[in-house]
Amino acid sequence: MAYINLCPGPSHILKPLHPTYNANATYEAYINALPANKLPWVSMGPWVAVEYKPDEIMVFRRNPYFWQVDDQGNQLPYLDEVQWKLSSWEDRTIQTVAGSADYSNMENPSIYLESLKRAQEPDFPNNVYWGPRSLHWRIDLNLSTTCGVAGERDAALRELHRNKDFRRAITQATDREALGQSLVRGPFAHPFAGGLHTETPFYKADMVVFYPYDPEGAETLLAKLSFEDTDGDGLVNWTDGPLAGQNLEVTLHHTLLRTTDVSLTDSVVSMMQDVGIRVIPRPIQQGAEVVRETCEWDWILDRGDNEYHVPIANLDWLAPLATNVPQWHQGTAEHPQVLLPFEETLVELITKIRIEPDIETRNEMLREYNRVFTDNIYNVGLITIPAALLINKRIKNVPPGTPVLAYQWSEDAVMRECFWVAEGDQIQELFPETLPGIN
Amino acid sequence: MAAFLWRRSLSALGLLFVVSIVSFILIQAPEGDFGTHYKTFAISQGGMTEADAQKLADQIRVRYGLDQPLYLQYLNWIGGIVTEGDFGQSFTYNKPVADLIGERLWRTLGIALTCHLLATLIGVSLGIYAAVNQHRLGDTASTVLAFLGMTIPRYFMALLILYWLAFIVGSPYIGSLFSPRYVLAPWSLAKFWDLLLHIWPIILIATVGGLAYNLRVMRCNLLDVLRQPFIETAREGAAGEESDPQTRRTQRAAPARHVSGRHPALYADRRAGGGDRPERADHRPADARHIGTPGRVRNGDDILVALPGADHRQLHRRSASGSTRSANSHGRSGMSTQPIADARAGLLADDAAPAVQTTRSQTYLNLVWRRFRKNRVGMTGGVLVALLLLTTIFADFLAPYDPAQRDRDNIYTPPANLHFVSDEGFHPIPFAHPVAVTLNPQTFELVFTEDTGVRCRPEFLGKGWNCTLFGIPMNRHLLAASLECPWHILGTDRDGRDMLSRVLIRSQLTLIMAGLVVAIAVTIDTLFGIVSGYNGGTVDHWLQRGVEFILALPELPFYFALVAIIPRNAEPLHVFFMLAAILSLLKWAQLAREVRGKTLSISQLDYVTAAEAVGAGTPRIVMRHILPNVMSHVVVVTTLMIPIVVLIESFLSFLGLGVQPPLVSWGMLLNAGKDLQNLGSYPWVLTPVVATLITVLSFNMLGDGLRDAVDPYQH
Repeated sequence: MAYINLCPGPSHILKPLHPTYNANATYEAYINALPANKLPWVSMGPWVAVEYKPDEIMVFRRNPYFWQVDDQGNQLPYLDEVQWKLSSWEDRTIQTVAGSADYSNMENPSIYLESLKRAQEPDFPNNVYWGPRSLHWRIDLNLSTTCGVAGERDAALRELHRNKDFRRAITQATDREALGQSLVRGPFAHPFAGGLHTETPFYKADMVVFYPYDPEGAETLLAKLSFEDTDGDGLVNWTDGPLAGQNLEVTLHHTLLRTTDVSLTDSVVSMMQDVGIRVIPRPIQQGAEVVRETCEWDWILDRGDNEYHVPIANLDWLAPLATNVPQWHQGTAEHPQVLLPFEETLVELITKIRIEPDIETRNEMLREYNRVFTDNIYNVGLITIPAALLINKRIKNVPPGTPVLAYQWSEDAVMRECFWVAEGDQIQELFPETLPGIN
Repeated sequence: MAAFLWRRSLSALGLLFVVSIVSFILIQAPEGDFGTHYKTFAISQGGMTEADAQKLADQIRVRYGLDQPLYLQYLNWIGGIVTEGDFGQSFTYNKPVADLIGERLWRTLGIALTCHLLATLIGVSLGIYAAVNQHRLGDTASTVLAFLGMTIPRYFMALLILYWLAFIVGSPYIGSLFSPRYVLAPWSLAKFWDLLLHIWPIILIATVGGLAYNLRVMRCNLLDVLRQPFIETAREGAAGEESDPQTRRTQRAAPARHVSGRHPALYADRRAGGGDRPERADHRPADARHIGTPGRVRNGDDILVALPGADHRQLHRRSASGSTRSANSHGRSGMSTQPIADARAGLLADDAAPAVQTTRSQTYLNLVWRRFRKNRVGMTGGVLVALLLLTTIFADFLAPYDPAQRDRDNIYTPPANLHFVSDEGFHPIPFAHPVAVTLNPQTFELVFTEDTGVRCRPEFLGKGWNCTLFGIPMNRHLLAASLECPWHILGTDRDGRDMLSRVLIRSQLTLIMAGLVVAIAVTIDTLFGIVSGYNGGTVDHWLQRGVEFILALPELPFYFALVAIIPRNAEPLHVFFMLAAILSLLKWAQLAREVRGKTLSISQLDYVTAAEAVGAGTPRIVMRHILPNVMSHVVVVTTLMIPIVVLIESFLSFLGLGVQPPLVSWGMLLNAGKDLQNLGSYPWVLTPVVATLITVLSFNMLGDGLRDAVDPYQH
């Protein structure tokens, strides 16, 4: 709902409220000039909020002044009313499967099998449209030496993260096949090396460096870094530096909002334990970004967004072009990141890609970017999976194959303005025959 | 009365004040404040320099008063609440917090009250029914219901119902309180019905838990009361009244004769642990002549109270006029046969007196054991608990696999079919066939096919994974199975780990946690409860304020705050002990209050007064007279507390606040239920639920048996 098409913005409404245009206005007042409970909301979108009950429902009515038309010249949208049931991410999919909601992105692998079983039944209310493998999970190792370093432990650990042999040890200790199957059995999950997604034009198998599961190799690499189990407790110890004698321990933050992240963390903890690294899970009630922004973390397990699926739209996220990117190597305005040599290569590549007009050359450069990224294990990719669009069968004009995530999430990609429901299938409107703000 | 109410109101205000301070401290406990958050946000999202962000954060602090000393912040906060009902502004909702609370308060109260009323009504009714029909089918059925209600974690029940509604039934009534058409509609019958359609799972789940507790406590307390002599007396009297008029007169006198004639001794004997051997004479009141004063006695007015517990030396008679006499005579030691003979001579003046039989006096524990061993349910519980403890102690030896050993080729393998018989004859150690997995091309459901050409059998006392037993490294196991030829009799989990081994080994942490918390909590609450109830006065007053304070603590925010202040790399073992300490701290209060109540009522009884009158010291009275009498309640609550601790630990793990990996408890294993596919496709990973059920059932059965055995009025 919050995506592009519904953003408010008519200047004749907003200008009088802004201090730049109105000497009597203040920024403090501007924040709450149009509060959520002031209905109808000011919007240039296809529907306008006419009723809002926090945590329960928002009701939108068709905007009679919406500017888009269909190919016949009919004004959009077709739907007179849209009801938004306010719920959690995972619950919305369950509600849609059950039939108490009409639309959801199914992106939680742990209910794929159950939903597919249910979808075999004739009374299943939805169509299921599978898209490409556009979701990935990964572990970020904090590479920053200038941001969020609280003491010598953090400093030592960040230096360790910056060592390619260590990152390689971590990636080789990770059994991605098993991780994928543990999330959902079947053909859904694929191992993911990190970098750009496999099912995009920017991916080429021979331009990706994939380090296969090799726990013995990981142990050898740790030994090369002078880690050994000096106290016989099954965990390797630091043998020099300020942490000498201590076990190699790292914290791993993950969100509790998705069951996938909890499951993956549990498996990763076990895999790292096998090579002698103690990973301490740190669950977060909110999204992982809450911790990410503080810079005070060791590892974060998180789901990626569309920057690695549609890199063109998010080039500035892909390399340390600013102090707040990439998410696992941040700096501050006073103390920018200290770049690793390969990061400088990435910066150069992205800078060139930004101004490259030729599509094929640009794609080739992105493949090169991917090679450098994966060769140096910039982050530890885990798995990549497809997601599906669940939408009630009575809703027509849904482009089949619409990806759940590409340039935007599917809510915008499906063009909701064109949704159409046959008269006999329509459900009861809450505010029939009304126009927002008029009657 | 008015003064009492005034005093209690004042102390309630004081308590609220203390709770508000603690709540405020909890809010402040996590590191950083809103200014810190704002600064981080400005740097990471706004690209602001640290100096600018700091300036901004300082402005924010000034705006919200966060720059002031803590006590001023507290005064602002509490001042707003008390004087204006102003709880501050919610940033999330951009609304006053008071409005948000107000909007939800009535709903929350409505749901809570409904659940409470239902739980009380049904729980108490079933409890009465169970107590009156003890050991009959109705009692067993309601006990099983209570066990299930208390054992299955509520969130687990919620997940089961959710799964059923969403993936089996396809119910449109999930995930909210109302259907869209009724959210904004005014109240009507249709809206109320719509609410019920949505909300019944919540009410059901909340009610079942409370119902189970009420049922158990009601049954326990009613059993205590039903065995009181005055009830027995009343029953016998009632029986007499129902008989024909010719015999009624004789029977009406029976209670009096029971009390004052031959039967008191037998009565005392039976109540005090003599079981069904009324011919025993060693517990007979030596000085019973003083007790038995025949006279006009109405049902229930003339009551013989036989002391339970460690000291059976006192028999008391409470007459209709309230006067009390004490006969401190019959005991376990120092008793000669002469007084008994005297007693017989005095009480059993007729030739109906049985022959004197002298046997050795029984200790209290002997008496309890004698009674306990006759209780089949209790004994079964005892045996199960013993087996459970033995299994837990020898878990490493019993586990066929390393519980942490992942197996990528056997992810989500179902429990193996065990074969004892083959064409080669009988196999004392059953074998299993390895399972191949294929996928249904439509649903991608797993199809498991046994490879009957291969037989996998563990090696008896064979070499397997390395473990330690009592600190001694070993690799021999009762049945050692190999990964190459899998023998997973309870299946495997999402990482291919053997469920049987995991359940066996993980029982250790669960039981240690439960044992630790219950031991600490029960000791504290019994001590505090008795001290508070017996001493009364100032000690009681302050201890009760302490209890109220603990009960008033907001548990969940308390846990959240504690988790927020745990250091980033705290040892899982430290976290474990900290959790145990917190749970102990929070769990003793309720029982302490109940023990206090019991102590108060007992300390008013005549025999305590009598004991005080003959100069018995406080420790003796507490240990000999009060403690044994509250023990039955303590035992029951202890058995109830074990599952509660297991469930809380599991709930905290559900929230990510509990035991941390690599430590794993049943609670953590139970969280597999969060993954909805486990409910539908891999139900065997929910074995820990069964293990928890058996554990709770065993402890409850044992507790019931013990309760009956230490119950002074038990037949």
